[in-house]
Amino acid sequence: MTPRVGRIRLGVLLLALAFSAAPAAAHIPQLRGRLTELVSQSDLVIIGTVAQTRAVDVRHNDTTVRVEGRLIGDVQDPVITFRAAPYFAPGKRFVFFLHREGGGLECVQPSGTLFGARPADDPTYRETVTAVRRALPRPDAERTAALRAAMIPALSAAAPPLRYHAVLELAELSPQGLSPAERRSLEHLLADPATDPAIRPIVSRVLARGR
Amino acid sequence: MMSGVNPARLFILLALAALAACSDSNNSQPTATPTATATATATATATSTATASATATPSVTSTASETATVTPTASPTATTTSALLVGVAAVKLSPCGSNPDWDGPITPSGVWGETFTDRNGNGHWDDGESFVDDPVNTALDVGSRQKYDGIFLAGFGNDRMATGCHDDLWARALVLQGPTHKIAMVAVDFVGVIAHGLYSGFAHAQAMVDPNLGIDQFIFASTHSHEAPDTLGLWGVDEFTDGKFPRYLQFVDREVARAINAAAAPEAMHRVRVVAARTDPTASPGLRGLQVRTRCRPPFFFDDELRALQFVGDDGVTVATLINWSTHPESLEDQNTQVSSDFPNYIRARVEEALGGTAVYFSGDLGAVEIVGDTCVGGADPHTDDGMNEFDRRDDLGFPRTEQLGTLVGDAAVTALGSGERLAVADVDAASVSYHLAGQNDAFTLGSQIGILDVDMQAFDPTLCAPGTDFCVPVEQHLLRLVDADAQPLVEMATAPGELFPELFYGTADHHRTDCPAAVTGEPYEPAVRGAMHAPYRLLLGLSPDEFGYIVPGNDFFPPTGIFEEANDPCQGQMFDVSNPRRTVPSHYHETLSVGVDMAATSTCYALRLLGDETEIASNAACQRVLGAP
Repeated sequence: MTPRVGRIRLGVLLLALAFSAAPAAAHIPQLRGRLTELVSQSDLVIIGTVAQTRAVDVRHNDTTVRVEGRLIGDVQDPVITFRAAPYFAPGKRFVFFLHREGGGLECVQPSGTLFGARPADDPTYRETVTAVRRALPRPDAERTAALRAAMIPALSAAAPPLRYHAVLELAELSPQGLSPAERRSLEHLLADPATDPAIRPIVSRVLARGR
Repeated sequence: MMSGVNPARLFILLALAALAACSDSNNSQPTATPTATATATATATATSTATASATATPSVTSTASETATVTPTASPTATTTSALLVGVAAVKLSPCGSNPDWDGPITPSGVWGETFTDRNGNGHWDDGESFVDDPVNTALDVGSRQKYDGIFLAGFGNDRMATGCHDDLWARALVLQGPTHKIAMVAVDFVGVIAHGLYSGFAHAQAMVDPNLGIDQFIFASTHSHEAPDTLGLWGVDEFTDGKFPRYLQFVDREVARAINAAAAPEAMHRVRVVAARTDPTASPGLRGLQVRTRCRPPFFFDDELRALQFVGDDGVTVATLINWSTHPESLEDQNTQVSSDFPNYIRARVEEALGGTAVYFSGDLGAVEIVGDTCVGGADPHTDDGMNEFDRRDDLGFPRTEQLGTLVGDAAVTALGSGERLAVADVDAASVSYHLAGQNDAFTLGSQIGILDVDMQAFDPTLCAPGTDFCVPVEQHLLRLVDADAQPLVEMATAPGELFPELFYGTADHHRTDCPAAVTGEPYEPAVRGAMHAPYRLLLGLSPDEFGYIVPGNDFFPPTGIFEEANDPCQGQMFDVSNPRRTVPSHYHETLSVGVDMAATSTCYALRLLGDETEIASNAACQRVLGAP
């Protein structure tokens, strides 16, 4: 890990700790793109199927998962258990963003943030998460563009959560507009009738910026 | 957002002046007031037509990049007799057990919702458990197909399903009738409502009210309970799956209409005298230290006034009591799974116990204001003389504490009314304004696109906002006055279309951050709504009719930016009160749940317009920015 990455990760962790130390959750859940935040908080990102979920209290569960794929970090065990705010339904397949805490693992996703994953979705998740991971340690001036480059392919993802997180993050990453190549990509996306109508208004707004 | 439409504005002023002149006449006839309509195009060409209006509702409409309709309900008629009639009704909205008006499914726990197989035996539906998809829900909302529809509790995180009902939720309707007007006010125990939904919302309830009751104007509001069903859609099983229960929401609309019909029925109307009171933590020590700012957000300023109006019948029996206080009803916090109206339940119970009649609670300017013990723990003001605050902690959340808090507030209201002022109310009048505001929040855009938010696109028509607007918000504001025989206001109630920061009610010029010069955005100060009022009793009814999120002062509005969304404050983490080291500057959470920076200026400036303070509007830079130069 380079010193720069270390500073970024430290900042992210401090931020995460600041929020986790807050005595109460937000009043209203913030509907927002979280991919960058989750990747930056995670030591381990895996794809797997939920074997068991056991309630700890009203808002937390211990979740046991059969690991089927690894996007970030190393894991040896074919089955892992971690504490999570979201309820992951047994039998369903998800992407999990995990942070090592003490000797165990904790899920860093808030209660409503779920990334359902069919096997066909795995390549897009892998591409997006990997690209975000690679973007994070880059210098400020390059990082934003690299993160945008990570989000744009995800706008065509079949998995709705990935698509929605990507479009919200792209909007936040584009306050001053886009590069010519990015513009062409988004114009092509809008011209494609298969593009999700739900994301079109935000993509159009992003395109309109800086014109 | 808005372009200058001076000719239209001038026309509005002229029309209002004409109406005001009419209002001075005791001879005005409610069935013969002319309607004036002006349409200003982008080139500001104005035309007008005058027609007779069966509803006696003068209106002025201008259409440019925004559409504004100012609708005074006109003419308080001078009278020397005490002529106020009041009707009240309370109808249960609790989604539990049997109810003759509920014909939908009920789960084994008694909570309403689609029936399911409780595989893990925890008493509520969990993702992955099979359920019977009720076709009634799907018929109302196509997004409901194969989605579990039940009671997800609103507030805090997603996927908090109700396991029972602790106390009842209500639609409480208060109908005020003077010689010239009859106005319905309704408070519901929900986190908030979008009035113009495609299949639910207050507009639907209003359409079901008996037109023969002659109600001129409707003021709907939510108390903002964080322990009640999801009426917005934001609290479903995950962040992109809505938590609304369509069949229940239509039940709510029916019951709201039923409450109004019951309260407004001629046999329900009582001739009353009005007793008004206001108190605060200085006069009522029980109120001390009950409000905090979210995450200690500066300035540490509240609307700490508790206001109450008691309506007492000729027979000396209390018909109704209206209570107006300003903090989030979320004492039970996020570990609770029992449906509840939170502390307003206990306020109302205490007031009804002491005074009789039906108590109706309206939340006020509660933006960034929380009940003690939520966030900013350890940062509350003292509750007792020894400097302690027994409620300023997180290890004692639950119903006993919530009852204590509600009872304290109820006691303060009762005591204040005991020495309250009897008002010589001669009439009630009201005015309203509606306009469209361009939303600047991508999350709201996506939420409406994917059906999380139920919005009627006829009302949210993007063409009514500036080109390029995706989320064009139809805003509605009201002003209600109780006036004396000289038409002088005794009580004024202004509404706000969301969670108004208290600085905006009292005026940001006098109440703004001073802790961090680097945090001043440079946006001009919005005008003081309260300062433009003239009545001795000045109420603010929040979340009325809509919950359009936080209404944040422009001079402290930091839009969500960057990959972590919540904007950092230039002084984040710094202590801003040397006498209370727990109070440190947080990040800008509220802006992520705001329609945009313009909501503060538009809502306060339009409130001033309803109050007739065109002088302040003309001299206020924020008003000039959003309403155009005078």
